[in-house]
Amino acid sequence: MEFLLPVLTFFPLLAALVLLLIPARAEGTLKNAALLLGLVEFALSIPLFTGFAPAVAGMQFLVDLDWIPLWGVSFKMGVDGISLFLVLLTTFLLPLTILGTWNAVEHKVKGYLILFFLLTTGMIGVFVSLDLFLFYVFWEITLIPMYFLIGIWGGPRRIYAAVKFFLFTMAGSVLMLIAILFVYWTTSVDGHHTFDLLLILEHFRASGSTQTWLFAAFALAFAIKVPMFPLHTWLPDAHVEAPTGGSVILAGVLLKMGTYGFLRFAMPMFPAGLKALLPLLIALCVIGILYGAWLSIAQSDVKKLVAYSSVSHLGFVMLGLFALTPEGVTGGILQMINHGISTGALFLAVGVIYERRHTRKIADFGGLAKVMPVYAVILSIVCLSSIGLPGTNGFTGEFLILLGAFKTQPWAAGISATGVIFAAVYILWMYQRVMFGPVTHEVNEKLKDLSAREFIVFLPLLVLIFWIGVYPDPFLERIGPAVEQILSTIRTS
Amino acid sequence: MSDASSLNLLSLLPEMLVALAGLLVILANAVGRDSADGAHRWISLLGVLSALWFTLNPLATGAAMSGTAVHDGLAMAGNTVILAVLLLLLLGGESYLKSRRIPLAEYHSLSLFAATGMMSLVSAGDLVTVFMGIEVLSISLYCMAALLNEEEGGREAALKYFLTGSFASGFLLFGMALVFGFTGTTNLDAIAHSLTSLDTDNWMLIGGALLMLIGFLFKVSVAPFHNWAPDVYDGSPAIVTAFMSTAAKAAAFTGLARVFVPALGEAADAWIPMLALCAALTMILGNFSALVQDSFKRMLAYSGVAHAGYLLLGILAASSDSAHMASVLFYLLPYALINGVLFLVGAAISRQRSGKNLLDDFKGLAADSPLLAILITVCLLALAGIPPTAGFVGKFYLFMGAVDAGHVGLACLGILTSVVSVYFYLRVIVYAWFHKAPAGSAPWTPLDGGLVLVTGLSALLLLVLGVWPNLWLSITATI
Repeated sequence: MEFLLPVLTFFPLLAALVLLLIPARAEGTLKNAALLLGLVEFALSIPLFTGFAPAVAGMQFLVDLDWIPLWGVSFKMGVDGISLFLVLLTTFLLPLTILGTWNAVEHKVKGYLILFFLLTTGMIGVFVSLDLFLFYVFWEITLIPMYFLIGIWGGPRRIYAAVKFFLFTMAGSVLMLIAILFVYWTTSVDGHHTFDLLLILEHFRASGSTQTWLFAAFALAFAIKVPMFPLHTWLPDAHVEAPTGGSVILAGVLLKMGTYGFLRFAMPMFPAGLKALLPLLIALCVIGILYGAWLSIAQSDVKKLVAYSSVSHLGFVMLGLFALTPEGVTGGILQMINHGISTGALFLAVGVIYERRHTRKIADFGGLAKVMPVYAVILSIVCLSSIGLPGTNGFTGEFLILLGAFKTQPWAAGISATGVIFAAVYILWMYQRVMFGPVTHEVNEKLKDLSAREFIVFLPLLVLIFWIGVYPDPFLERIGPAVEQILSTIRTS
Repeated sequence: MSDASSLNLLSLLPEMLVALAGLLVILANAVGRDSADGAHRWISLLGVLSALWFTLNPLATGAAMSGTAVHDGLAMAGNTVILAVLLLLLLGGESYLKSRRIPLAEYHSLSLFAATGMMSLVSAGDLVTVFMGIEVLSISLYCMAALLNEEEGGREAALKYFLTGSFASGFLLFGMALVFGFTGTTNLDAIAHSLTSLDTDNWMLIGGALLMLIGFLFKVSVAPFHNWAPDVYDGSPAIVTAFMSTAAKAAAFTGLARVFVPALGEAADAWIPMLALCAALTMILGNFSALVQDSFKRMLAYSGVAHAGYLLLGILAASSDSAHMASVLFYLLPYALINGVLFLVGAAISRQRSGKNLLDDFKGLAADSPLLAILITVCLLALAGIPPTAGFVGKFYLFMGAVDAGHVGLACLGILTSVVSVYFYLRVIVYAWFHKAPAGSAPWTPLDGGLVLVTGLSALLLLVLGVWPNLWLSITATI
């Protein structure tokens, strides 16, 4: 248990090495091995949930080892209620994505699977790192596998999308590096400089204007990743071109690195900077919520529609975090998980019809409900959870966010609430055009309904959609104490 | 042992071993003629390996030859980089030398003599040693640049290198004369000592320092004195380019650090503004010029210019706190390894396609040889400063020093231009992985096993140092 976090972080790396040893021609063996290794990774993460003490606000499963003592860099990992579920979301989506895109990748299966595991190492590392250097290393590492996933297995404009993805994220994160170095030299603990986040939170002091600059540098990195309006333009390109598995992970987990970064690093480290820039950030959230929703309405490509809906949904998440109330922040965190589940499921669902028809244009479908009844039911549940219908996970999250935001940002919350209506418009309208009405294209009449494998992929996602929708307590009671602690850090300093 | 008046010849053992190996190569050639081809390589290898051993496990350290040479941590780190590059080229360059019909005796002896010059420069304790070291290394490299003088660009490269190099030496020498005129000594320690009691606001000292700086900046190809580098790198045989862009640069940087940080540190106000300006210019010009290159060698040449800018940040930081010198030394190793590998492997890959070192030659590489594609990807990502490579750790160290020394603006400029650099490094990766080989390309023939092995090990070392930098930090940070 003591070294659970390093094990969870580096097991995927080990898994990648194992896959490397299997010959590329044995595709069946590769896929089976990958699924098994993915399931093992998920199984390894279960003790994280069961062993986690819900009432404790601080870091648990702490690991603190020397790494580069000369620079005060330590190998420090830990989870609290915030990162716990993001780690679990990552390990949960890993085997599901492998199973869900079983036949989606037709060439170079081996490389595809290896990159998936490498990506998982990077993502988990980001969520559990408590040392700024370690965090930055993992943060950058996630770029490389995703870049190759888009660039090799992507659609027609994959190269453009891959390079854009890489450069946008890189450009955002380098200034954060300078800010990290600045914080490092400003923080002195017993005469030593340190990258240890917990020590920095305790000892770092800077004037308001310095904090504003530092916050801006961090915020730029995270806002690009989230992505917040107007830095979102890389996302639709990346999503549309990425293979289904890449999209699921991108929307499900990678974007959460941005929201998580705000909450874990930028906000508690530079509260004065946060306060200075809060009006701007709130405005960007509101614009993102509405603009993302409007753009979704106008899309003719299902995947692009889901991609823009992510901009809108993550606007909600950020609004919740910036509300700076327990309800808002808790809701924001819960909504991160919800978005990972719902949008992950949506991308998988898009992948299902794309695999059958090799098109994602809404106009190419219609009347699928008659041909694929099981798929229709599942997609309707996923869509409703994305809109936030009561009884599904989306409702719990959005309700908490708006509740929290109304307390401190009533105007922003009021305007944003209309975003929920637009969400209903673009999702339901899409659903109607794809599923209802007569079958307009002959080829669609012979489409097969979900296979057993595909059904098994959606099942756990549906369970979670209803679980969080009906009984979110196991989640909220773990998130709550950590949120209180973060908020008290922001308030007191 | 470090008594300044003693000879302390034992501490010079590495230099002497390398020079001796160079002489033996010539001797072997004279005695054995053509049958001695294999011997050149073995003699060189033996010389380099033993020198490397005694560099890392010195029998004696400290000042030697009455203080004209100093074997300290700086010299140890610098020598390690130079010898590591030499080793890489010896082990990996055999197939290149054979395929291009480069005269083996000349190549091996000249590279060993050049290395002797570099090592003298790195451990110089006196301006005269600095100059001698620079001349020995330069003259050897002028000849090496002309080893393929029948080829297009070969003679031009050699002549250009010679002319600009001599010009730079002139500046350097004139600057040294002025500094000597002002301080009355050529010993670096003595200069530092005398400057503490003299008024440093003097035209002779400032002029001397700036002229010397110009000379050095020429040698390390810093803008605006960098224009020779792309032509020379492009026209010289790839293996020579690999040598001069790495080992020679490492030596010149260590020499620059030695002369300016400890010796002329008291007069820092005179040369820091110029150095900062040049660093900014270099990072901008180098990276933006590299963006538009179609030749792999020229792209690497401009990237090398840009990296000289990053290294100047380290020198700037060291001028306010000499502990930051370690960041320059640290970065030199990954920088040298990456470029050495890329020039060698790039040339070998290009021979399979156009033979002209074009970026297009990398198209479809991953399909032909996934291993090589991974290898150059690791190197390019390291050059771009992306973790978990030594390139990232090294750049991080440089920027860390710059921020501490208060050069936050320069650090921001450096890191933003390095985002620009990501674009042209990625271009090669895009060609290698995402493009197909052009129609009608000749079938792929596997590269020389020795080359792949040694470059592969170098790439692995880049990853190891990226994850565990303490290995190299423990040497560089002890100065």
